[in-house]
Amino acid sequence: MIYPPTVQTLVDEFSKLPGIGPKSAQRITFFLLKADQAEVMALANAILVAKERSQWCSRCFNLSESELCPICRDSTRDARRICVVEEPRDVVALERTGEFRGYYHVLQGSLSPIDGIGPEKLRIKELLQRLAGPEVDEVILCMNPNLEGEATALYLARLLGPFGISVTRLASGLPVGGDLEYADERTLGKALEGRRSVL
Amino acid sequence: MYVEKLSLVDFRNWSELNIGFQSDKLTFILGDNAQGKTNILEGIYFGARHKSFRSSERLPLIRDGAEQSIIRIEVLSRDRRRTIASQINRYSRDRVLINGKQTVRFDGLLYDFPMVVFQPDDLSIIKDSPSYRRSYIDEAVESVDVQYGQLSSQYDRLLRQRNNLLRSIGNRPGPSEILTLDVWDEQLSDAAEKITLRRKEGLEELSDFILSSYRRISGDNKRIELQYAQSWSDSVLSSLRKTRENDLRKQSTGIGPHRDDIVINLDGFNSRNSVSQGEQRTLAVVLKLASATMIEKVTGETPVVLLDDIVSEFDSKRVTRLFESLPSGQIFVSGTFIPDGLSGSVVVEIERGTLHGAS
Ligand SMILES: [Zn+2]
Repeated sequence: MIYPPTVQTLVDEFSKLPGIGPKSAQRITFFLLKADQAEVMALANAILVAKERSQWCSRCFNLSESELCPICRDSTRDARRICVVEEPRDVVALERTGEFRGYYHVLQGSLSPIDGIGPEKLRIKELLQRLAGPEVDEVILCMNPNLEGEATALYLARLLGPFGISVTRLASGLPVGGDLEYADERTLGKALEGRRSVL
Repeated sequence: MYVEKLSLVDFRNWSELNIGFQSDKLTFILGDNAQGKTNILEGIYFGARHKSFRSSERLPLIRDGAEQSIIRIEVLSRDRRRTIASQINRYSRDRVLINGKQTVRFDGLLYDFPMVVFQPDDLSIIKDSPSYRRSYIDEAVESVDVQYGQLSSQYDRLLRQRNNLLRSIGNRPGPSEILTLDVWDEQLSDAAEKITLRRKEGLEELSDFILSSYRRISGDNKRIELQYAQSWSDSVLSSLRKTRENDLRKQSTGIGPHRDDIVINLDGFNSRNSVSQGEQRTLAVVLKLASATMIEKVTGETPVVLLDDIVSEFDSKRVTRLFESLPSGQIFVSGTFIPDGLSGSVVVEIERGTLHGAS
């Protein structure tokens, strides 16, 4: 099948997105070509604005529209606790539980040599810098319950050992192999409440 | 489990085929060579497992000129009647529907729809590299332990992670790389110990069945010893530590369940190279029949047994004894003729690519 070059370019661009195969890329393209001009403009604009305005929070590396994200700017939170997660979506999942009032640190991934991800590709150095001061006395490791999350948590537990702070992990009971975000709020809240020391 | 119906569309040489089977009977599928009798067994197997026992590639399964194969079997297993429909597509992803509902995970199929196949190539289990014996024990354990498939795919992934790490580290790891390796080693050994334990237990369970089945079929009293030969000693973790330098140099993991073997001795002689070809063939079929017996004993469900071209593999005495010692349940046998004394069985005959059912 041959499309006009502009259409083919759009199909190719969509095919680069995660989880989108060539068939879905075609489907999305034709959906957009059939849609109202205004709708398409709104989508294009949303992409551009989001890309332009969002940045990584300079403290916790969550998504933010300013130097510091709203959570890091909230001085009423408990500065003694830092919850370490893999991705911004995990912050959303944990915030939904309402169980955690400390701050976060987003690693932006997990250890996975297959994907070329070693410790140097994660925001681990930045985490260590945050722990250099005296305020933090507990780090909670909230990795995804899969092999890579487990490796990342073990790595951090070893690394943080000499810091003399308490390092805890979520209680088991989350569905294995999945992501934190798939766990329901109650289960995740309970896992957080029942966290255990790993040192 | 019983297969009650098989239908094939554009699978191998069959453009369309519909057969009903009688449960709990020995069914012979007869035909001259290259008439597609093995393809019928393969169709039954593919229907239950969504994989072939002859080819790891998908495309040769689709009939020449067709875009899609459809394999549909109706089975009765664990007191439930289910239809499994598999599609193999030349240009898009395969689909499996169980009672009309799409399934994305195939790792429980072996447990839900137990099936054991013997084919002439299974002589490799006895004669060839350890990987054949590992696949044999893995499949046997997976048929009785629904968790095992997941465990072994976890192990495979951990192994790939570690090997990738070894390649990226090179010869002189820094402190953070050593710590990373420590962490993957710990997880890998954890899975490795579990796999080894389950394989050893499986082998233990199999050994009685292997021994008695061998005696019945061979007619002799030779002693069989089965030994799980580990590629490591003490614990996987300590062995990984000891061989780390070597692993870093070779950029691959030298010990673990992926390097283990099973040694089968017959009267003290290693069956891999020091016993006769006839004894090797007998051992190969005995291993498969023993796993069928184990499945029935452990899970309470009789597996479907497929014997491809078995009659031509053995002398007539062994064939007679073999048919006398088959496990209970539904058994399909492909071949060019029916051996003496089994004339009462159900027969499906193929002539010039078409089917004649008779009994
Ligand atoms: Zn922040």
